[in-house]
Amino acid sequence: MFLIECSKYWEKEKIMKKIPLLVLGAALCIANLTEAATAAKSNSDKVIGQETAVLTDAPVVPPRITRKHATKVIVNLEVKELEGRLADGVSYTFWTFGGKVPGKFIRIREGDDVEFHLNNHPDNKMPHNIDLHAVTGPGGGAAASLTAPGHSSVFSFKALNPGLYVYHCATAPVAMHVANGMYGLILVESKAGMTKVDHEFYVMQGDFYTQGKNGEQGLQAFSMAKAIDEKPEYVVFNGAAGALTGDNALKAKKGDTVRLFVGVGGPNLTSSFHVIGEIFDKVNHEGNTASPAKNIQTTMIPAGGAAYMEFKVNVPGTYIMVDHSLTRAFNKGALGMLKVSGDEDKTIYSGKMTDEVYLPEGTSMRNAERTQAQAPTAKTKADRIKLGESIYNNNCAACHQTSGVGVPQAFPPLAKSDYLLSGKAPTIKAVTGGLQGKLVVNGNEYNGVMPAWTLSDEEVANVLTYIYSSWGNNGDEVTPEEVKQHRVAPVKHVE
Amino acid sequence: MSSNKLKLISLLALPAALIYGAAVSAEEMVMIPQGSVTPFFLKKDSVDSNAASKVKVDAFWIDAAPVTNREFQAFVSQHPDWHPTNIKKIFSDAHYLDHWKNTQGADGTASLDTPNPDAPVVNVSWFAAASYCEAQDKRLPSTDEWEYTLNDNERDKENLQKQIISWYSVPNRAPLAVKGQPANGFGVFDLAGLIWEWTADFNSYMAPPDSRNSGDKTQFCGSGSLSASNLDDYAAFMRYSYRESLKGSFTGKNLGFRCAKDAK
Repeated sequence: MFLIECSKYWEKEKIMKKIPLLVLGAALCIANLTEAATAAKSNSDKVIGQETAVLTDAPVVPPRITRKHATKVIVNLEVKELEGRLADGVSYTFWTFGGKVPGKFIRIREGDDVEFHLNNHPDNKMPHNIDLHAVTGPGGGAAASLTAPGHSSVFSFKALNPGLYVYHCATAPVAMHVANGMYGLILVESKAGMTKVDHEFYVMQGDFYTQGKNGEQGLQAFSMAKAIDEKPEYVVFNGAAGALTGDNALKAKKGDTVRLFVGVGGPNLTSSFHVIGEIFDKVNHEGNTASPAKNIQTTMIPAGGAAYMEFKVNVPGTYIMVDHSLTRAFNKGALGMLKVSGDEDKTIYSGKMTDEVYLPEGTSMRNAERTQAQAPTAKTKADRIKLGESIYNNNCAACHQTSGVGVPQAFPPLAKSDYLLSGKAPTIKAVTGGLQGKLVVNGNEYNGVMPAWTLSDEEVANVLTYIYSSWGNNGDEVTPEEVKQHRVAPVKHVE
Repeated sequence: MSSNKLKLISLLALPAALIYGAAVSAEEMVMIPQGSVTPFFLKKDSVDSNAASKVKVDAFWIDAAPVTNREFQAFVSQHPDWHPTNIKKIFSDAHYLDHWKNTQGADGTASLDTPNPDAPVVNVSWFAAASYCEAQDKRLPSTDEWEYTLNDNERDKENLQKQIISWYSVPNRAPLAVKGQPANGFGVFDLAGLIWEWTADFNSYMAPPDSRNSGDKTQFCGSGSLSASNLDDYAAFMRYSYRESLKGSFTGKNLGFRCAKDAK
């Protein structure tokens, strides 16, 4: 860089023919060149010193590397098999690199010599090893690191290629080891290093195969059959449904720059990674450090692959991270949040400005027809339940699920819900008027929005009777008269 | 079929039985009739590199249950060389019989105190296990014999696999007493769901632990499936991987053994 500037200087000075300045300029140039040469030398592959790698649990990322030379890095990674939370009320025996899913984030620099210690805790049942995609060599370290419980293996490698890489256990059956959470990311920074940003976060997606269906409570065993069919019950970020929502949401302030390191452990599914309401200013596809793509909406991350992306958060609010294969986000847990605090900027995003009744041509006709073709009226409680079921499936099931169990951290359960049992009136008010803000159901706190439903008294009565008669609820019947009595006007939602 | 279930009661009366006043369980063995087994992986020295072919297994006797703490205690009392304080370092790692307390016996014989005498003995190295069997005039079963016994002529195959996978799917706990679950078709207990077991030739399958020194046959990652005979049998993958990760001096919190004997 200095060389170019200096040569330009020489040319310029030749033309200008300003001799005294030329001398001064030359002197400066020589000084600069010396500095540049020193920098180039210290930027070489020579390995200087030794350090122990700082390892972090998601979503935390180890600090940026500021040294300008390669070093010897000691990595101590412990494998632990332990029972943990997969979703509300659902636990699972995870096999982990460091006690959490995903495994510890490892950050090194191109040219570093890495001495890797893989420690298999004596309480573990299984042998484990590690295949780091950042390693050049057969097996990526796997064969050299096969380790029985209660033992340690050591191997070393040189970080030849910069990039963001997945590591994972590769002991047979590899799919099961990975399905149990044995994956993480290793970042090899290029010699040029990385720019400073306000926040760096670590997110990793994985699919889980449990014997019980999604939401089935208790300790769930691994289902080999579902894994082979590639039909996961859970697809989650950072090892559990809700690992990045509510209080666990990632946080930033308006105007901050954010860098996400996102990997996919799999074992099977890829991720159409998307942050709702954000555009990635830069995406380093496949974790490459050379050429970021700009202005990306959704980026594809392969199983056993990674990418990192940067964006500036301009508008406060909650940004939802999803796998845009949406049933995974909606039904299986692949959902996280980035909460941005700060003042609104209406020039970038106005929020809702007006809400007016829209009357397309012929609307009155349609309304008239509708009045004539009357909705069926229930005569008995059984009728009510039957009619209520289809209303439920069309309006409510998307959030509260056909099984009534809701979605952990997002949508409260209706099955055996203490909220419902508190009385019919609040329930009728909730359906007709909507709800927003903090709500505690069965001991879990929710903080979301339920829209007001434009349903007739009859329809509300039917759907509530269906809900009260399902999933172990108390079997109450709600009549249209009761709905009429307790109906409220929709609450105004304030963003 | 009942002839297949002949049981041999060993009449060896161990002096240790008198010391403890407890009934040292008679070494009950079960006769496994001859047959053949398809090994899950090829042997390392296998000539046929294409597919695992059936291997003939001669009839043999095998312990109906894994060796228990009580039984191993009696052995250690008789053979002080295998006492934790005396064992030679090349024969075991530092965790040998870790679950036994008060190992500081005055004469190195009778002061061992095990928390659960009827649970299978664990934290034993291959050398200790082999030596135990030898002292009973037995030997460790071969991997083929052990797998053949587990295979149980494919009785209840799917259920067995599920049972094994669910054992692997829960965190490690101290093993329960032997014979807590029903025996399999051969009359053998606890082949799955309790502990891992040593075999005589535990690491003679597949490639050496570093694939950089070997050919294409390795058990790791995707390539692990190339040489296996049944890709859907995750439980078998795990057993073979586990054995492959061991060395003769290793011990494990849930690694025990049972003995076998030729049927002659």
